[in-house]
Amino acid sequence: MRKIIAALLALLMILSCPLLSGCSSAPVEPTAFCMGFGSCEIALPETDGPLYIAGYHQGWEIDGVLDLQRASAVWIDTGNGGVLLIGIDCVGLSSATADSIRKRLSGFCRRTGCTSVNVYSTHDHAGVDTLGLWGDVAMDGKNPAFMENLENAAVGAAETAYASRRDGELYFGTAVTEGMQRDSREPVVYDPTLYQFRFIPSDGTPGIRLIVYSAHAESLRGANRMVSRDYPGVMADEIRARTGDDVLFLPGAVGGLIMTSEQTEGEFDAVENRDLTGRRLADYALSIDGGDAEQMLPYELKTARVDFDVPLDNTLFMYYRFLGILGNEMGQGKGTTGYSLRTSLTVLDLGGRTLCMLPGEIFPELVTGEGLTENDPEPLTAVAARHGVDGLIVTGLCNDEIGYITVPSDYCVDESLPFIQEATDAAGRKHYEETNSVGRDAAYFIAEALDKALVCLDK
Amino acid sequence: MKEKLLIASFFAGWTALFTAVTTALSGQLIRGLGPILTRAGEQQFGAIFSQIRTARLLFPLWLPILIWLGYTVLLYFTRRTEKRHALKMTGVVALGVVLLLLVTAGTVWLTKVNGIRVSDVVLSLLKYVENGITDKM
Repeated sequence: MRKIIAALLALLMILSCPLLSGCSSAPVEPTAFCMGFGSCEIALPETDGPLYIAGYHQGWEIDGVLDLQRASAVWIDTGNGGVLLIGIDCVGLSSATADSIRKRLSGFCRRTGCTSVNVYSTHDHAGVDTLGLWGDVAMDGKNPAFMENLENAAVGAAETAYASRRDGELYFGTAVTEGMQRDSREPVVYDPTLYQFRFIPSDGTPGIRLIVYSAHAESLRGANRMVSRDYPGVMADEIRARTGDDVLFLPGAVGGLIMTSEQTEGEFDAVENRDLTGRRLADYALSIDGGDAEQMLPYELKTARVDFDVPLDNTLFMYYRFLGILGNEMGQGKGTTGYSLRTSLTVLDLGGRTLCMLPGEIFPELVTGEGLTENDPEPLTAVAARHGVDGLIVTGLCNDEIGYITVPSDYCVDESLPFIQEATDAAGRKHYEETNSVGRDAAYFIAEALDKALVCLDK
Repeated sequence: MKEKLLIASFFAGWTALFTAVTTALSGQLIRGLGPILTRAGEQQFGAIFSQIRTARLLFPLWLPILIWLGYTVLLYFTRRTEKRHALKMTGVVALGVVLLLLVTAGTVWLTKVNGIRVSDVVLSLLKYVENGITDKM
């Protein structure tokens, strides 16, 4: 009899654990947002060969550390299954790495009721090569030990985010930045808005912010060889120092190519430029707090993911896949190479605000429709509007990195050495981005995938 | 009935054996391309192609199976002839060797390495070479 009572007591304790740990897990009408944050440094290994710095030059090894790259995670739920956002300070992650992290978290998902794991990169150009494209020519630049550390850090951050979850309210606001960005390719189109989701826990502990901003994380510029999180890291540290809040940075529509403008005056100093950029963007984020533009959001959380194939025109990507450098799945398809690339797009409805989390660096024109011709795909904001979504927020490099998603009517590749040599069009404009794109038609498939994902979300 | 079963096993057995030999040879050739190039003095290309030593290979099995099945039929009937048996067998074996080389080459050509067919890579590289990529290197 005693044994039966002991077993019943143990069962009761196990069942009451979720209640004791902060958030209710029963499928009930949501009464709050439940969020948690976790972050782990990605250690630099001393084994498995050189560590190449990603983003600019092939074969450049890192020279030192300003601040280590991190994996940060945010857990979000409203009582009916959680969503995990994992942001890695790196140049990009292929779907193979994202899937590998997801696989490592399969037990976590079963245990916690997590229904959606999204792994994205901040597009940090001062980090170790995580795509393999910046080693010696046609050689895999990834360091296996570093990739292992990265995946371990992602899992560690996810576990901490879940363990630190607590109830609270979620607010949304925006700030329009000035003099912070530049577009290196005409037409000059970019989104100057900084979007902020701010979670304020009911227990009075520091909050969590999700910040979306559209600029390449390359304020340290191309001559840098030091590892850093670039301006998103400085911005996060500044906000944490001033408010105690943790920050998860998400890159927006950065294609085309949108970067931060130089903030230093006089002779260029890379580290000073990074610090000024980060601090100024932190000021913008903090200026939203408590203002009229900041609104409390209803307790809504929905996600939908669509897997789809993009025609592969880029022969270099095909070679990289052949050599095992790129991890993306490729199959027979309609690209000029005869192949297509498997990727995915996720939409997240967070308190009635919809985030389109797409797998590459999209040109802002394709989001707003500015400068597009009638043969170009429907702008993403128009696709969203057809589904009743107002103010779509686009984030890039999520769950994959398929390169630039270019405007089809402005697509131009070199005739003799396509994707190897930059093309110059009749107007004398350089077309660098095409050399790092999947192909001409990617934008049509992105628009179609968003349409399908929003249909799923409506259901 | 027993004889039919024996004939079927003859065809299946030899076809399977020849197919296994062909795919094993093809696999060795693909995986060994890097070291072969290195030994030939092409250090850079050797290092590049050494990366496919652990690649996922998908062989076009239909090709060796079809060819070797046809060859096995030929072998079967030659085996049963009595007139000039030795000469015919020598011819069949010689044909077998030629076929082994051709089928291995065909299998390599159509094998998918990490999902990409060898022929697609070679043909597109040739196009780049025609357009003067070597001048840029």
